[in-house]
Amino acid sequence: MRKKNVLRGVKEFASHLSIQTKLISMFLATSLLAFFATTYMHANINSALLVIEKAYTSNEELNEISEALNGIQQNMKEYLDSRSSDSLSGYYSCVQEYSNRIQELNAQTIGRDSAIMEKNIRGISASYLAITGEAVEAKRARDINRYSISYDDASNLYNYLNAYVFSLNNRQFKDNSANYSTLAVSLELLGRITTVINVIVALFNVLLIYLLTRQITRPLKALSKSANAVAEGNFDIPDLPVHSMDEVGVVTKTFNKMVDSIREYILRIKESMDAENEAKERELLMKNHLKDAQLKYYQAQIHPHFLFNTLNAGAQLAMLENAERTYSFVQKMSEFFRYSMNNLEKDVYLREELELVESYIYIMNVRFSGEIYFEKEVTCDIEGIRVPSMILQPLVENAVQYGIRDIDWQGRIVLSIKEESSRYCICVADNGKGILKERLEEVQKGIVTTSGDKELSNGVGLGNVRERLELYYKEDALFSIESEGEEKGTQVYIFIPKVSTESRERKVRDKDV
Amino acid sequence: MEEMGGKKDRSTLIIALLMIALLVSVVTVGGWYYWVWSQQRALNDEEEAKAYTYHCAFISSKYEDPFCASIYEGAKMAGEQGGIYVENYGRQLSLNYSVNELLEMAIAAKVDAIILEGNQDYSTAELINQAMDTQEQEIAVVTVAQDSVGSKRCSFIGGNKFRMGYDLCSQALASADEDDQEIMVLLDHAQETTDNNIIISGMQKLLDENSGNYQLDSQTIDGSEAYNAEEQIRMLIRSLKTRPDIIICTSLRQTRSVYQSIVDLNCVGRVKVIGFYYNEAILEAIEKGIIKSTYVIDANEIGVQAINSVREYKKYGYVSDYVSVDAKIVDQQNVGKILQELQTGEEAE
Repeated sequence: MRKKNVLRGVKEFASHLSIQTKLISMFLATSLLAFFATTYMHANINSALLVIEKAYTSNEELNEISEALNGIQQNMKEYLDSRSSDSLSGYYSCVQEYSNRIQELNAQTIGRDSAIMEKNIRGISASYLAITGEAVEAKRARDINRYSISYDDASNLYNYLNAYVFSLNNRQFKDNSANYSTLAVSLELLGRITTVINVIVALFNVLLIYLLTRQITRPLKALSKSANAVAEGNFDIPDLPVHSMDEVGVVTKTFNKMVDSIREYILRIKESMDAENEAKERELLMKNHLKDAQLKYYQAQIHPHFLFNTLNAGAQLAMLENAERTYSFVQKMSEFFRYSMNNLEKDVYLREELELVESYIYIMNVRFSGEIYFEKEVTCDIEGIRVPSMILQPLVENAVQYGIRDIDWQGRIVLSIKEESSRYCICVADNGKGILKERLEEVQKGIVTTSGDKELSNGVGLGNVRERLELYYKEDALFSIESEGEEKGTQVYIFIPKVSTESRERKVRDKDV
Repeated sequence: MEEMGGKKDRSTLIIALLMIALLVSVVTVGGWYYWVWSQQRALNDEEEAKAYTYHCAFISSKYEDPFCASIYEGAKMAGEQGGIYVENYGRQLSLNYSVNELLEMAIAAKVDAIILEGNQDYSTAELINQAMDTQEQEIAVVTVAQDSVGSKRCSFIGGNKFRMGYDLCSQALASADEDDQEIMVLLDHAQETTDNNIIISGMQKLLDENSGNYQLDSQTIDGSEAYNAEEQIRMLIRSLKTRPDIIICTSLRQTRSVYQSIVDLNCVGRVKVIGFYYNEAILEAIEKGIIKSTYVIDANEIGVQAINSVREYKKYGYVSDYVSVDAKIVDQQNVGKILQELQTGEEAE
C-alpha cells in the first residue's frame, strides 16, 4: 500500500516536471550511465594493470633482499678487517633492512616450490644472521679463531643464500612471465567485455532517448493533428488526454478548453439563428395568412368604401321613410363590413368578436327569414380578453353554411364562453347536419377546408382561423371540431390561453398608455 | 482510447528500461565474474598449494638415477598423505651442490627432517650429527639405500646387503654355462666399504654352498668423476685377459654401462650380466636375453618407509635403527609384466 503511494507520488512528481527539466534529467541519466560504464571499465583496467604490475614486484623485492644481503656481508667483512664503526653501523643497518625484508617471505611449509624456497631462504637467513652476529661479537672480543670460523661459516651460508635468492628470482621471473602472458590474454578478454558493455550502454542510451523523446513528442503530434482538424473546421474531435502537467500538458489542456468553448459558442449562435429564423418564418406565415384572408375578403367586396357609403345612404333613406327594420338591417350590414375591413390585421377584444357574430346572425336571419336560432352563453368575465380578429364569425358562418342550412328541423346555434383553469373555452355548437366520422378526421387534419361556398361566405375558412390562432398564441391544439355523426350537430372549440391573453392585454394597455 | 495508448506506452517504456537495465547488469556482473574466474583459473596452480606440518629435505648425489628418483617419489607420495612436504633439496637451485653442502643448507634452513642417501664420508656423518644435535629444533635424519656408518642418523632404510650378495650370486650361477668359471662383481666406490664386504661375503657363502668351480673377483668402480665408470667397465670387457664369464653389477649405473659395452663390443652371449635395479632399456635387454636378470629393491617402498620413520621419530622421539626393504629378481619370466607396468606408468604421467 505504502509502496503504491510512493509510486503514485513519484508519478505525480514526474508528471509535473517541465520539458526542460525532463530533457535535462534525460541528458543527465544517459551521461551518468555512460560515466558509470566508463568508470567501471577504467576500474577494471586499473585493477588488471595492478595485477600485472604485481607480477614483477616479487622480483624487485628479491633484488632488494639480495642487495641488503650483500651489504651485510661486505660490512661484516669490512668490520672484521678494519673494525671501523662505520662498517659496524652499516652492518646493523643492513641487518635491520634485511630482517625486515625477510619477514615478508613465506615461513610456512606450503607445497609450492617458490614458497618452500622462500622458507629455506628465511631459515638460512636466520642462521646466517646469527653467525654474522657471532662473528661481530667475536671480533669485538678479539677472539680471532672464533670470528675466523664464524666468518667462514657465514661466507658459506652467504653463498648458499645468494644461490637461493638468485634461483628463486629466476624461478619467479619465469612464473611472472607466464603470469604476465596470462594477464595479457586476460586483459584482451577484458577489452572485449568492455566493448560489449560499451555497445550495450550506447544502445541503451539511444533507446532511452528515443522512448523519452517519444513521450514528449507524442502529445505534441496529437495536438498538432487536432489543431489541423480544428483549422479545417472540424470541431467534432475528442478531448486530447493530458498525461503530464508540463508545457505540452498545459497547452493540451488549454487547447481542449478552447475547442470546448468554440463548440459551445457555435451551438449558441446556431440556436439563436434557428430561433430568429423560426420567428421570421412565423411572421411571414402570419402575414401570408392575413394577406390571404384580406385578399379573399377583398375579392368578396366591390369597392368597400363605396359599399359603406351606399349602405349608409340606404340607412338614411330607410330612416327617412320610417322603415325601421330596413334601417336596422342596413346599419348592421354597414357595421359588419366596417369591422371586417378595419380590424382584419389587428387583434381585438373578444367582446367585439361577439358583437360581430351577433351582427352576422342578424343579417343572416334577415336574409333567411329568421330561420336561425342563435343563443349566447357567457359564464365568465370576458372583458379585456384579446383575440385575433375574425375568429368567431367564421365559426358561426360555418355552422350556418354547413350545419343548419337545408335542414328540416329548427336550426340552432349556441355560442358558449366559459373559463377553465388555464384557458377560456369558446364553443360554437349547432344541431345541424353533423359530420361523418371520416370527413371529420380529414377536417381535423386540415386536408379539407370547410370554406368553399364563396357566395355565402366572407371567405375566411376554419383552417385559416386555426392557423392564425396557433401563430398568434404559438401553441398547438387551440382548435378542435367534434361531431357525433350525421344529423347530430357539430361543435367547434377554440381555446384561448389565459397567460397569453393577460400579457397581451397588458401590452395593449401599455400601448394605449 | 488515447489514454489507454498512453498507459501502454509508459508500460512499454518501463518494461524496456527494466529489461535493458537487467541486461546491462547481467553483462557487467557476468563479464566481471568471467574475467576474474578466467584470471584465477590461469593463475590457479599457485593458489591451490597445500600446507604441510613438516618440511623434509631429500638429499641425494644421484638425482637422475631412477633408483633415487623412485625413492623420492615414494617418500613424496607418502609424505603428502602424512602432512610432510618432501623437498628434492637443491633441485631448485641453479648450481649443483654436493651432498654435504646441501646438508649444510638444510641444517641452516632448519628443516624438520632430512632423508639422505648416505655415504662413507666422515664429514657427512658429522653434518648428520650436527643436524641431530641441533638444540633449537632437532632435525630427524634418515638414511636410505646406503647408510652413513658412524653417524647419529635416527634410522636407515634399505635392503639387506648380505642377502643381496647371496641372491645376486645365485642368479649368476643359475645363468652360468658349464664352462663359465669367472664371476666378476662390480662394487660401487661410493658405497660403504663395509657394505661391499657384506655383499661379497653373501656371495662367498653361496659359492661355498655350491660345489662348482667358480672364481669370484671384484672390482670397485669409481663413478665420482664423469665417464670414469664407463671407461673402466669398457676396458674390463674389451680385454680378453680380464673379460669375465659373468658380471654382477651392484648399481644401476654399472648395469647400464655393462649392457652398453657388451653390445658395443659384440660380447652378447659371451658375457652373462646380472644387473642391479632397472630402467626401460635394461628391461628390454632382459627381454632380449642380453641381461640375464636384475636385482630389484623396491625403491618406492624405501621412500615410504623413510617417511614412516620420520613421522614416528617426530611423534615418539625414537624409531627402529634399521628397516629392511624386500627385493625381487626380474628375469625373462616376469620382465614383460614389469615393462608393461613401466610403460603404462609413463603414459599415465
